[in-house]
Amino acid sequence: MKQQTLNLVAAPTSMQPGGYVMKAYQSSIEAITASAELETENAGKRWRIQVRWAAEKPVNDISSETDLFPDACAILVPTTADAPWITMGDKDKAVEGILWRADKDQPWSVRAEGLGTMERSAITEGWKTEAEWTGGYWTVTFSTNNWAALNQFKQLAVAVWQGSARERGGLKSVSPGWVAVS
Amino acid sequence: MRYEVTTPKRQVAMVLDLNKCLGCHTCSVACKKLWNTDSGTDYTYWNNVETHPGRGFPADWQQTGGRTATGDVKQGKVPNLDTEYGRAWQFNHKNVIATDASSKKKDWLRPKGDPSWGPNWDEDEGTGTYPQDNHYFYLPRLCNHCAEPACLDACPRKAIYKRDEDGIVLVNQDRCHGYRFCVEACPYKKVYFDHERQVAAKCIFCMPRIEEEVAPACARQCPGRLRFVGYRDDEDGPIHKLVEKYKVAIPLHPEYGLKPNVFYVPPMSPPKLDDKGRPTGESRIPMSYLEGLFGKEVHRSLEILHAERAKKKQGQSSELMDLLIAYDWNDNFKLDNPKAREVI
Amino acid sequence: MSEHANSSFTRRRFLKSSGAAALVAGTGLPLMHFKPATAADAGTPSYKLKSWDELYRQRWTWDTVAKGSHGWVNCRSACEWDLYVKDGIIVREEQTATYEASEEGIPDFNPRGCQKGACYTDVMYGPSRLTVPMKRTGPRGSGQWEKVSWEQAMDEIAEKMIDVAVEHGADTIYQDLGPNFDNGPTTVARFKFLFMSGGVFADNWAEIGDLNTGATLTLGFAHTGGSSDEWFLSDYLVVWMMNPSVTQIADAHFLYEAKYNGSELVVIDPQYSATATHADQWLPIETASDAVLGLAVARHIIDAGKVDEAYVREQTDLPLLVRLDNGRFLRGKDMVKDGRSKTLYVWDPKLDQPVIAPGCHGAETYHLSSDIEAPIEGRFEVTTLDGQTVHVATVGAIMREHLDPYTFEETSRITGLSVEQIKQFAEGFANAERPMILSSWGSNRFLHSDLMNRSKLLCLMLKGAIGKKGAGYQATGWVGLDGFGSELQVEYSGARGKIAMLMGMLSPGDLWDMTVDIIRKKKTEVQVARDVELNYEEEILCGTNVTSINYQYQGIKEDLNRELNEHFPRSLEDYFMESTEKGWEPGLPRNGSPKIFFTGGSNLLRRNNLPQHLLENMWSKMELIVDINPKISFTGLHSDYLLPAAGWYEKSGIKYAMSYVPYLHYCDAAVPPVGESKDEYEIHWLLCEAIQKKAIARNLPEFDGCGKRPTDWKTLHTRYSNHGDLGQKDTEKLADQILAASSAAKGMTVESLKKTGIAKYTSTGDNVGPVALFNPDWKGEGVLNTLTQFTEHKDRWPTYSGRITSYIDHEWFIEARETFATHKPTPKAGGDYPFHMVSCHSRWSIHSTWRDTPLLLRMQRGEPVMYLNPIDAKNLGVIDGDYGEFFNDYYTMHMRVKFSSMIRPGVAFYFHAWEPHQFPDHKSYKWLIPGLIKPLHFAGGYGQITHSLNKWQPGTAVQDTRCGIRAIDQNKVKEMMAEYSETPSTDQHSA
Repeated sequence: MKQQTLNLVAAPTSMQPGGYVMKAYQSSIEAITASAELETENAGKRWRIQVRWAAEKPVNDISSETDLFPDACAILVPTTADAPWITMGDKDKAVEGILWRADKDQPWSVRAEGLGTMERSAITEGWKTEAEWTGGYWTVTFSTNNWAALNQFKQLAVAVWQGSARERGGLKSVSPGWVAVS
Repeated sequence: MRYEVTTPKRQVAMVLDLNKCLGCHTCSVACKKLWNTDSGTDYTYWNNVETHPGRGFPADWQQTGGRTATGDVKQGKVPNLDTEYGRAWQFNHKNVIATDASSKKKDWLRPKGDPSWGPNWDEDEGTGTYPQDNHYFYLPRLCNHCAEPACLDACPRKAIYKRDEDGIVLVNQDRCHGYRFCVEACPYKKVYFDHERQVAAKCIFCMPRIEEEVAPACARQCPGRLRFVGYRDDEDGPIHKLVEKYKVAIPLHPEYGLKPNVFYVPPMSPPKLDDKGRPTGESRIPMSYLEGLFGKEVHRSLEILHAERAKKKQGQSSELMDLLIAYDWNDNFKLDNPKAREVI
Repeated sequence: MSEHANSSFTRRRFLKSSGAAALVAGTGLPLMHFKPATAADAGTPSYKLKSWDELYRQRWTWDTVAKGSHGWVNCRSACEWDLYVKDGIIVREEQTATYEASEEGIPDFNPRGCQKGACYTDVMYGPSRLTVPMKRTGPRGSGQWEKVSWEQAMDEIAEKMIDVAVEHGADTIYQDLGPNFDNGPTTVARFKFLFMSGGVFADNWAEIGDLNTGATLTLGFAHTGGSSDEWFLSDYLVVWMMNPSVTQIADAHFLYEAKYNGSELVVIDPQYSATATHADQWLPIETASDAVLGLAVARHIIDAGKVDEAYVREQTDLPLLVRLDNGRFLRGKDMVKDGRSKTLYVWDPKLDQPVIAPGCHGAETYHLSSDIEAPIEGRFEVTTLDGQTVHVATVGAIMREHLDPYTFEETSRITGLSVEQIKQFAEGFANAERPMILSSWGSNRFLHSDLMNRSKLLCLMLKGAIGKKGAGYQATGWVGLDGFGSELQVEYSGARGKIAMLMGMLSPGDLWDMTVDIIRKKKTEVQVARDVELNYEEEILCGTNVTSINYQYQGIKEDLNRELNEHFPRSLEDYFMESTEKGWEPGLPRNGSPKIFFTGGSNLLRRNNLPQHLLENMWSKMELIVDINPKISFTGLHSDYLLPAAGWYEKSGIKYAMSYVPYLHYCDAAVPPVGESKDEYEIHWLLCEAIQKKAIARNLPEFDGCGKRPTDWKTLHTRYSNHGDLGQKDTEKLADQILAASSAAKGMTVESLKKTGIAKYTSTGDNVGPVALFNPDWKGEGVLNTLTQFTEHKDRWPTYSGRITSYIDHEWFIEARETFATHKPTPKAGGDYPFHMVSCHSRWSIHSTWRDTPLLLRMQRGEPVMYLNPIDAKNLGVIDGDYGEFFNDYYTMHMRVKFSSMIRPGVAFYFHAWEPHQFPDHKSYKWLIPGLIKPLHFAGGYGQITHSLNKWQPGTAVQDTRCGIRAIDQNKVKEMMAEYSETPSTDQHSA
C-alpha cells in the first residue's frame, strides 16, 4: 500500500479546444481542489485505488437542475510509454481510466487520445467502486482484478472536479503529472 | 484555439416581422409540443416570446454573458432553473378536484413550490408612464443558427456543428457530455440543458421538416403570418429581399458578432403623448431601446418601413409592403431549391 | 302542396335554425377522473433510439392523420387542424392551412389557429379530463365521487327526471344554452333532448355580457359582421372595445396587413392592449366614456358635411318625423282613421306634407327605395286626425340638437383624451371612405354598453358605412347553417321530418297568408320567413334567458335594485313587474325556480355573478344537476352526476359557423372516445331511451311542456331517434343530415369533409334569424361582406321602423332619456371604491377551457392574477406576485397581483374565466361582481325590442364593478398555503 498526498494544479484552460473556454476561463489558474490523498494497493494484477479530497459542498444529484455540476474524479493511466498526461493522451498515445461521478451509480470506463476526445463506455466487469462523503471529504475507492496498462506502467494521473465550483470538462484539478504508484 | 467554421453550401434563415406579432405564443407551443415535452426539457422553449422591455427568457439573458458588446468572449453563466428559466411547474389538480372527505377546506389549483419566475413571467408588463409613453412589444426568439456560433466554439468536444447543406447548427448529443459551456457561451441563451438526458439541446430549425421542405413549426404555425423562411442566397426568396434588397430585416444584437441568420423587422409603435395628451411625432418605443436590441441599423430599417407605407397610403405600389402583407401565405416559405435541382 | 315544391321554402324559413343555431355562447367546462398518466405522459410514446438525431426524427412521424377542429369550444371563429395519431394517441396537432384568398388582392386566411388549438391534446389527455361516469357521494362541491356505470347513471337520472317533472312540470328542466356549442351532432343532440322533453332553453348571450343590444336596437339584430378579410379593405380601421391580437388570434393579421396596405389603424381602449401596440392612434380613453367619443365624432361628421345623405335618407330613421309635443313618432293613428301605430312618416317636399315612410310597417311595400327626397333635417307643422296642429321634426333635426353638447372640449373633459387627439380621430373618421369599427362581444359588459354601441353605429350610419363592402360594423356574424336548427326539431329523417315540423309551426291560415304575401310581392320569402321566425319563438320554443331566471331566484333582487337606485326613473323590480304583466318577459319556468339543471358546454357557477347567492338560493333547490362534459369544471364539481363526453378529436363535429372564415370546419373522430366517454349524441340517445322505457312502464301522462306544446315522454326516444332511423352510434349520419339540410353547405358530406377538413360555404344560409348575414348574393365567391339585403336589395331592416335606428320612442326609453344614444356615467357597482374592475377575454383560454392546462399555465403565472398599473400598486404597497386583497360591499377575496404598464391607473384588470377553484377558498372575483341588469332590457312590444334568443333579452353587466385593494401579510398566505397537504388524496376513481 502506498499513501501519498498529491498537490493538485488547475488543468490549464489555455489548451482547451475551441475559442470559448480558453478565453472565458483564462483566469482560472488556481486549483479549486488543492490536494488529494491517494492510496494505492497492488496485489498481483489487482489494484485498489483510493482518492480522498475535501469537498465542502458535495454535489451528487443534478438530475432536475440546469446549473448543477456533479463532483467527480478520474484516474487515468497511459497506454503507451510516452502518452502525455496534460492533454489526456494524443493520437495513438491513448490514456485510459475510470471516471466516477457523484450522481451516477456506476463509473464509466474512459479512453482519450487528446483533449476533447474522451469516450465514455460502460464499466467493464471486475471493477468495484465505493464512494462516501463524510466530514467534508469524498473518499472514492476503485478496485479491479486487473488493469493491464497500470500493471505495465505503474503510473497514473488523478483529476478531481468540484461541482460546487462549476467544474466540468477541462475545468478540473489534476495531479501535476503522472504519479508513480509503486 | 477557435474552431474554424466552414461556410455551409447554403444557409437557411428566418425573418420575423415584429409589426405583425400578436404575442400569442402559438410558435412556442407548436415548438414545444413537437420537440420538448419530456421531463428533461419540459422547461425549455427553443422558441419563446418575451415582452420587451422586460427580463425575457431566461431572465436577464442579455446580461448572462458569452459575448461582450464588442463581440469578445466573456464568461457567461448557466441559468438557474427556478430563478431564470422557470421550472415546468407541477399542479395539484387532484387535490382540488377530488378532495377526501376529511378535509374541510379545499386546496386551490396552483403550481407546486410557489414559483417566482417562469418563461413568460413579465408578459405585457412593459414600462413607461401611462398614458404618455407606456410601451411594450413582443419579441419571439429562437436559435439564430449563427454563421459564427458561440455555442459551437464553446464545446471542447466538438459536439456542435453547422450542417453543410443548410447551415443549421446542431448538437451531436451522442458526443455531448453535458458540460454546458455552450449554454454559457451563447449570449442569446438558446442552448439548453436536458437535465434528464444530461446533454445540451437546442433548436434544430425543425431539421426533419426542412429536409422535407416544410417550414419549421414555429413559422408555419404562426397565425400572425409574421415569419418568413428561405435560403439566404435565393434572390427570389423572401429572406434575400427583406435582408439584402430592402434591408428592413436586421439581426438581434449584431454587436455580439455571431452573424445570426434570424432577422427581425423592427416594431413601429403609436406616438407618445405629451403631458397634455397630445400626440407627438415620437414613437412610444424609445429608439434607444431598439438600438440596444438591434443596433444602429434599426433607424434605417424603420425609415424604410415608414417610407414604403407612406407610398401605399398614397395609392402607390410597394413591393416591400406587399411582401410583408403576405398575400399568399405559402410565399412566406421558400424552401425548395430549384438551382440545386437543376444541377442534379 | 307537394313536398318537392315546398322544400326550399321550408328550409329557408324554418330552420329556426339560425335562431336556435346561435342560441348559445360562453363558457365551457369539463370533468375529470384521475388516470395515472397525464397528458404529457400519454402524448409522448417512448422511443428506442439508435442515434441522437433519431430522437428528433421520430418525433415528427405518425401513423395516421385526421382532420379536426375544436368542436364546441366557444372561440370566435374556426380553424382546421391535422391531428397526428401515433400508437392510438393524438400526439400533436398542426394547422391544415388550406384556405384560399377570397379574391384577388386580398391576403389569404392561412394558417389560422392559436396556441390553444395547438395544444388541445393537452386538454384532451389533461389532468381535469373526465373519462368515467361519476356520481357524487358527499355534499355538492365536496369533491367526493364514486364511479358508476353508464347504465346506473342513465337509470337514476331518468327516474329522477320523471319524478321531478311529474311534480313540477317538464319546464322545470333547465339548461343554459352555452356559450359553448357547435353546429354538429353534439349540440343538436343536447338541444334536441331539451326541445323534445319540453325543457326550458335559457339563453345566456346577454347574461354572459356578449349580446350586443346596441346593435339590436340600431339594426334589429345583435350579430353582424362579415369575413375577417373584409377588414383588409377598410381605409380607416377603428378597433373599439376589442383586442383582436388576444381574442381573435387567427384573424388579427388582417388588421396589420391592412396597415401595410395604407389603412389607418385606431385602437380605442383604456388599456394599452396587445392590439394597441400596433396602432397608428391609440386613444387611452377613460373607462366607460366611449359613448361620448362616438357622439363627438357623429357631431363632427355632421358639422363637417360628411354625411352620406342619400344613404341616410334611404336606410336610416333620420328622415322620420317625430312629434315635438310628446317625443313620439308621427304615426298612422295620428293621421288617418284606423291608422296603424306602426305606420311612420317622412316629409315629402314635393307634396309639402307627411307621407308614409318607405319600409315601415304601414307602407305599401317593405322596400326602402323611394323617389321621395325626404329631408334629413327639417321642422314642420302637421295637422293631425283630430284637427290639431302639431310641430314635428325629423329625427335628424332632433339629433343635431341632441349632439350639440358633445363638443371636442366637452368630450375631452369626460374621456380624458386631449382635444387634439379626439380631433385627429374624428377628422380621420369623417374623411374616410370606408370606415370600419370592430366591436367585440366584450363590448357589451357595461350597464350602458348599448348606448356606447349605438353611438359607434351612429358614426357609421352617418357615413353610409353599414352594409357597404369594406366598411361598417364588425361585431361577429354567422353563416346560417339551417340544418342545425332543423335537425334538432325533426322527428323523422329527411323531408318528411321537415314538412311535419313546418306544419306544426303554422296554422293553415298563416300558411295561406304568407303565400299570398309572397305572390303579391308585398314581402319576399325572407321577410315572410322572418315573421315566422318571430312567431316560432312565441308559439313553439320554450325560450327564456338566464338573467331573468337568476333575477327571480338567485336572491339578488335587493342588491340589484339598490345598485340601480337613482340611475333609472323607476326601480328594476318595477320594470320587471311591468314586463311580466305585459308578457314581454317569458316567465319560464312557470312553477318557480328550476329543479333540474343540465349543463354541458357551459360553466354557470364559474361564470355567474355573486355565485355565493346562486349556490345558496337556487342551486340548493335543484333536485338534479347533471354535467355532460369532457372536462371537470367548477360547475361540475357542484353537480350530482358527471357524464364524460367525448372530446373534440373523439367525435364527429361541425364547428359553429361564424363568418370570420367562411368555411365549414369539420371535426373528425381521430381516435375513439377516451376512457368510457361517449359523444353527446349517444349520451342523449341513451338517456331518452331510459326515460321512454320508464315512462311507458309508469304509463306517464303527457306533460304540457312549457304550456306551448305537449310532450309525451313515452315517445321521447322514438322522436329523438327519428322513429328509429338514428341508431345509438349514428353520430356521423346525423352530421350528414345536418349538412344535407343546410343551404350554406351544398354538396358537403361527412365523407368528403373527412378528407378536406374544410369546405367553403356555398351561401350565407337562410338569412332569416337574428344572426344572419343578410347577403343573399354571396355564393362562396369573394370577400363575405354583409347586409346588402338592405343596402342593395333595399329590403326593410328588421327594426320597428324598418330602418337603421337612431331614435327609439318606446315609452321606457323616452322616460329614461335614451331615445338617442347618449352618455350616461357608469354606476359604482359594489360600492364606492377606488378601483374599476375591468376584464377582457384572455389569450390563454377560451373561457375556462385551457384555464387549468399546465402547459399553458406555465406560460402565465400558474394562478389567476389581477393586473395593476405599477404606480397604483406602489401607492397600495402591493408587490408584484404577492397575493392582494380585493374587496367591496359584497365580498373580500384574494388573488395575486401582476404589474403592467398597459393598465390604466385606477383600473383593476383581470383576464376572465379562471375557475373559482383556482383561487384561495375557491372564491373568485365573481364573488364581488353584482352583474347589473339594465332595466330597459326587460322592455318588449316594439319591433326589435322583443324578447328573443340571440337578439334581445336582459343581461348582466360586470364592467361597472368597483373594488378596493389592500396589501396583505404574505406570511399569512404562506401559512394558509401550508395548511394543505402536498400529499395526493387517495385515488378512488381510476378506470
